[in-house]
Amino acid sequence: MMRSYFVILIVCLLTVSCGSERQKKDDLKNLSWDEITQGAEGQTVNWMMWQGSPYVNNYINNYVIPEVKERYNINLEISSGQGNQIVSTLLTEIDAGKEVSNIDLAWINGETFYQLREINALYGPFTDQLPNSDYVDFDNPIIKYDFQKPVNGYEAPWSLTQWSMIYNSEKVDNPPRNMEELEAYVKANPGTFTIPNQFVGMTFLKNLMIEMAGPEALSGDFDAETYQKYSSRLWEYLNRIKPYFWKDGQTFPSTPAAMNQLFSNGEINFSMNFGTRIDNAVDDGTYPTSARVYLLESGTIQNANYVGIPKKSAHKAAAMVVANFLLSPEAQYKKMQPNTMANNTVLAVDKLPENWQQKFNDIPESNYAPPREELSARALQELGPEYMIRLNEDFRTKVIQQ
Amino acid sequence: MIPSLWLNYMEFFKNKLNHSRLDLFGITLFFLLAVLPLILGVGYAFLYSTGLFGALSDGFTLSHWQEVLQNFEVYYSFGFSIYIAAAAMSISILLALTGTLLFNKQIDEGFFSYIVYLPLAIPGIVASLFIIQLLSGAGLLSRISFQLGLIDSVRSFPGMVNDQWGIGIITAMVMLATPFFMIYFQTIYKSERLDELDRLATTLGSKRFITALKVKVPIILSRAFPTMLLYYIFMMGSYEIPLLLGQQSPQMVSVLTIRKLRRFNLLDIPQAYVIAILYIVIILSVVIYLFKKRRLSYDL
Amino acid sequence: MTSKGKYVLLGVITFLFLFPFAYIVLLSLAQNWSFPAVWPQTITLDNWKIIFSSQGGMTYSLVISVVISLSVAFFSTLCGFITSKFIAYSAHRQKLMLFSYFPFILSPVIYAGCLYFFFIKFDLSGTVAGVVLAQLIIAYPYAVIIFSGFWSDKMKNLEQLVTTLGGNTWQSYRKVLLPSATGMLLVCFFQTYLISWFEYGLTAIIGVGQVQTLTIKVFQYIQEANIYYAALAACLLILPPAILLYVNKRFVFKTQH
Repeated sequence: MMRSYFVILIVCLLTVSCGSERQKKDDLKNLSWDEITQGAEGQTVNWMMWQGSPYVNNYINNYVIPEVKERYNINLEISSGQGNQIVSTLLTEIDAGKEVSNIDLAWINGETFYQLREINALYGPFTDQLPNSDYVDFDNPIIKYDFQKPVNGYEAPWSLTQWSMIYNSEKVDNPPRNMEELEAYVKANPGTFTIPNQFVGMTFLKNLMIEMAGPEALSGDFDAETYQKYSSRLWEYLNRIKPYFWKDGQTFPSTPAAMNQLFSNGEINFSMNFGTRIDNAVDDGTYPTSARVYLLESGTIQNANYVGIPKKSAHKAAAMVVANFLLSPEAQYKKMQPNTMANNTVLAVDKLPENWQQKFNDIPESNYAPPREELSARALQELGPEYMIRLNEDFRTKVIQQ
Repeated sequence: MIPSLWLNYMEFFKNKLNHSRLDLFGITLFFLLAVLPLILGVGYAFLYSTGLFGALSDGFTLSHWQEVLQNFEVYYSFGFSIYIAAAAMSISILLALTGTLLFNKQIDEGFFSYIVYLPLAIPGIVASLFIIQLLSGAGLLSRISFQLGLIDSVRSFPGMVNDQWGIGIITAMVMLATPFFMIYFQTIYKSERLDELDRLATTLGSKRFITALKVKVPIILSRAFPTMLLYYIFMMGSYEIPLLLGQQSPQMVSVLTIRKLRRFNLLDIPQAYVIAILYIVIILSVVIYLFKKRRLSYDL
Repeated sequence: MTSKGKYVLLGVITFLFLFPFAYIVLLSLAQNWSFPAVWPQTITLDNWKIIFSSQGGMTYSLVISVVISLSVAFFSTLCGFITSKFIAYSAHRQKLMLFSYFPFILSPVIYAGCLYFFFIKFDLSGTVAGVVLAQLIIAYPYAVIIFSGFWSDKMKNLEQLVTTLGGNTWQSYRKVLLPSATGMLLVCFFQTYLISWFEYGLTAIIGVGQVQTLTIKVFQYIQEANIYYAALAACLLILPPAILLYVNKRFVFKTQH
């Protein structure tokens, strides 16, 4: 009896673990798009992405996955991993001399893209092979440069987001729009403001640095001296107002979701977000109806995020088909609907066919945010990736550990 | 060539050492699953930490070791871990001793003997979820206090989760450890026949309470010492609980190591291995000490 | 302490032990429970219904967790039993037992971090088999420790008796050793099952986010601040062991000692 149980278990294990076919189709650059789509049939794509937003997960699980299965017969699987996990996974694969990567597609931008290029882990250039890239304006600096580094076709654009602040209009009449006003505010209302200790919060710090230095001083290649100069002022400022933060600045929320919870139960009066449309969050109760989006006086950072294909992926054809689908007008339009990611498209609307142009232009303004023109007027370009890396570290050593 | 080597190995084992093939299987498994991973894991960590391995390394260097040892963060982390585990352990032992001494019959059999096992069905993650829901600013205790008029807003509730004393972490650990030790102490109580000892002491004129303090407690603690020490080490290396209930700095050892391993600054990764080795060395020393000093009882 | 006072205290303790379970179940039934309400504003079975139908849902996590934990429990109990015999009777008992204690108390997550490279190298990262193997590395030595108390002189004599009477190894196992060890085998199976069932850090690292066990799901939902679904996953995680513990205690421990 035990023996048969043994056998059954072994069989179970083997069937469950035998997921991936280890094919090697590399020379995709010379194939036509039809050949690529054909080669992609029946393949499984493992997409590693940040799963911290229920709206993103909803869009992916309930729209993208069924659609690519129906249209292209591709099995899209999601595994959870934020930027640094993607980098360390691919780095360990290189260390181990692996021929075939576990990951076929990765949601990346900024410092993740930069580090993946440094360790030469990405496949490319591939974006010019995607038919839907005709609708993208690759000369638009927001898309052409990822955190000031040229993309050069090594990642396909996916969405455009602008960082924004959210405040509770019932509790705050005049939200602070610059550093001085913020200092006055927290001193008058202690315990109602905080910064999340991850990329959304670090982008807030970048906005403050741009406020101090002006966008030109920090653009282009990273300069250690310039960084030193403005960051030391930044740490001084933060340490001065830190005691008036939530929990006396002794601890900071570690995820945007945690911060949103504090905001929604009234512990703090502000939240931060990548994205300017909070309609779906208000509708499902994540935010109170009194939540409003606003930007800082000196503007806020707008960036694009992309999907990249690891060099050693065994399913590059299918990954490219998925990337192309994500870039299609249908998928981009759906992405702007409530209940999905509700952020901006990377497509150049004037390059689209007539009916799509109409559709995109008809998307209503958000009920809770300033009009689109005002938002884009205050959009700033991202800073170099080294800023994110340094700010992450220095925030810990120079503010948290003080 | 390999098959013949294998045959020789088996022959040697069978003849020289007088063991059956099953034993051979057993010891090979032990080597493969218990010894080898240890050697490989520690070896890899050591090589990576000294720069002898890794796509981004430049060759042998002690710089990572220097950076870690010169940085306060590691010492705070180890210190914090020691403090948390010690606090959680002491509270749990105190509660468990009281519980066992008062209720040893009920723990042995009856309705309560099933109840006492229940918390063992809770893993660290769920305990953390529960503690967040109970003790956080907008948690159950805060709401009850609000309803009772003890606090007037969400913000007035004292911070017990993600706080600097690790109250949330300690509570979660106590929640899991106390029932375990209650059961464990009770089995010791039974096997050492402590109620007979109790009767004897009473006939000799000692008060119940004094007997408890001077006789039963030392016996229980002495028998339980190896397990308590091992559980203490287990608490120190806890990951899920401090991950969810701890603050950014200081962090407990496991959280710190994994954070450094997954850091954006890829040059931080060797530091994670340095910390891992430091931790392993400390644990190893403690366990070896334990083996040298006394025979470990095997009733974990 | 008065007898009555004792029973009151016992009642309080019982309540405290039961409370987490009740609370988690209640949480899983809620959809709206904000400050300062002490009872959920909405209670519904919808959460439980939704989760079993949505894509990438709980059913997969539940099944995969059961498969992994059963495999780990089975292999570690079986192999632990066989190995512990050799170790118990060997001259190097102390040194070998040292190796057994080590993985049990070393933080599994740090251990996984150090071994991750090898899992990638042998194509085991992100696979169910890889996760099972990694959990075995923690559970198997634990099984060896559990069984080490079983092998005594009495057992040795029994075995020799079988050999004298003309039996072989297989027979001695089947007729003598396994039957007397039944209680311990079940205890070990159960405990190693729990070790695997509750494991998070190691699974997260070796599974690379692809092997989504229930513990990983709980963590994900907490990260998303979706506490109702997190509580739901937590229910699936704690209710089976709670029931098994009852069964274990009721039927297994009765036949022992």
